[in-house]
Amino acid sequence: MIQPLRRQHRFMITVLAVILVVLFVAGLLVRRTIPANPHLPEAVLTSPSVRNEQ
Amino acid sequence: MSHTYSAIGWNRQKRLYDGVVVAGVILYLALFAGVGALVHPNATIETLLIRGLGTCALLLLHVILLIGPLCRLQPQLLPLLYNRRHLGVTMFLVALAHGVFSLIQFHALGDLSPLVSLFVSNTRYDSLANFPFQPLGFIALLILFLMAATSHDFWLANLTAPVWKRLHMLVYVAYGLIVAHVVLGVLQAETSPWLAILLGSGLLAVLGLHLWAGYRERHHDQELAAPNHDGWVDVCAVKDIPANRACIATVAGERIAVFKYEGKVSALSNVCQHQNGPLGEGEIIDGCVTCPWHGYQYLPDTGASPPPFTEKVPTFNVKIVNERVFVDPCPNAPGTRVEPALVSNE
Repeated sequence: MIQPLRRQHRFMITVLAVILVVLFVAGLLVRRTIPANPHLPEAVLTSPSVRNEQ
Repeated sequence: MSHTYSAIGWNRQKRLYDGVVVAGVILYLALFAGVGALVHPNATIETLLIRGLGTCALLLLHVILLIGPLCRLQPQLLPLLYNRRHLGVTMFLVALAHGVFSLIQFHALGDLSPLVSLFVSNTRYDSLANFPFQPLGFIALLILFLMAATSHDFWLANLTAPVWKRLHMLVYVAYGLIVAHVVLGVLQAETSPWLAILLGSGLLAVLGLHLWAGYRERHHDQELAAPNHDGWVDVCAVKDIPANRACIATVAGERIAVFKYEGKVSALSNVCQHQNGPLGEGEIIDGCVTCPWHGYQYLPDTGASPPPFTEKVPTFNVKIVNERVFVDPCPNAPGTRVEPALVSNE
């Protein structure tokens, strides 16, 4: 009845835990400072940027 | 509990709940935009709104995912489960607003269709730091839409609880995609450590509590009661069952709820037909076993909901020998009446 569902749930969470922790750590490790363009005005340089350069 | 279809079974509690949730979302967005405008005076309102909606949806998703394991670990928190689907639909609408505004802001000004632009403007799938994170959010949004659209008892009844629950387990896929969307997206550009700390804490809380609750449930399931020589299973002593409550035993790989009420003992499946809630954690109210999740009710001797309701759960033959309760591990068809075992000293 419900046990197969429970097993699937446990399996999914376990897989997710491994993948997301690895992804989170890898994501932090590859972070790098985005080079700033020194010719831009100071106000623009200090504003929060959204990564819309895609 | 209802035997007729209605879009939403409104009651005072649900209206209050939804009012608080909507007010909370508006307050969060106002605070986010206000504080954001003070800290980053050059940020545009569009950027603040997109970020506010995104973080709000992420926060709501964490709350939604934490409710399940918290209720397993602390039954006092069960009322939080009652309206979780309303919270889910709210989260989807907030995420949808984030997605639509982002699509307009970043993809609607070129000569390509915004949806085409979303998928072709960045194809650096070989780079983690420059990974196209926006399609991840879009796919997560599609999953959340599927869940929000079927988040109603109409679909629950027509798909049946096991299928519906499998469908809604896709929330974990959506959660994984959203975490990837944030880690590979804004986290790559955000220099403040706070977003990383908050996301890491949320990730640990969601995964940690799920794993903990899963471990406890698995441990409970492994306490299998083995059948004796005549096939009956000794599940507990009569005195161990509180009045109008149940003892839950795992028999033949499934959980059975053994209720004691009015000097009688009856056994039925622990799985509510509505959303597979744990019937054995409920109590007998007005002569009916009442599910602790959403209040669905069943007669303890038949496993059938009282008329006009039509839900039924399997029952089990039960007997009492020397003040101990024995259950036949073979379930009867849902709704089959079983003569309750009489408690001798009550």
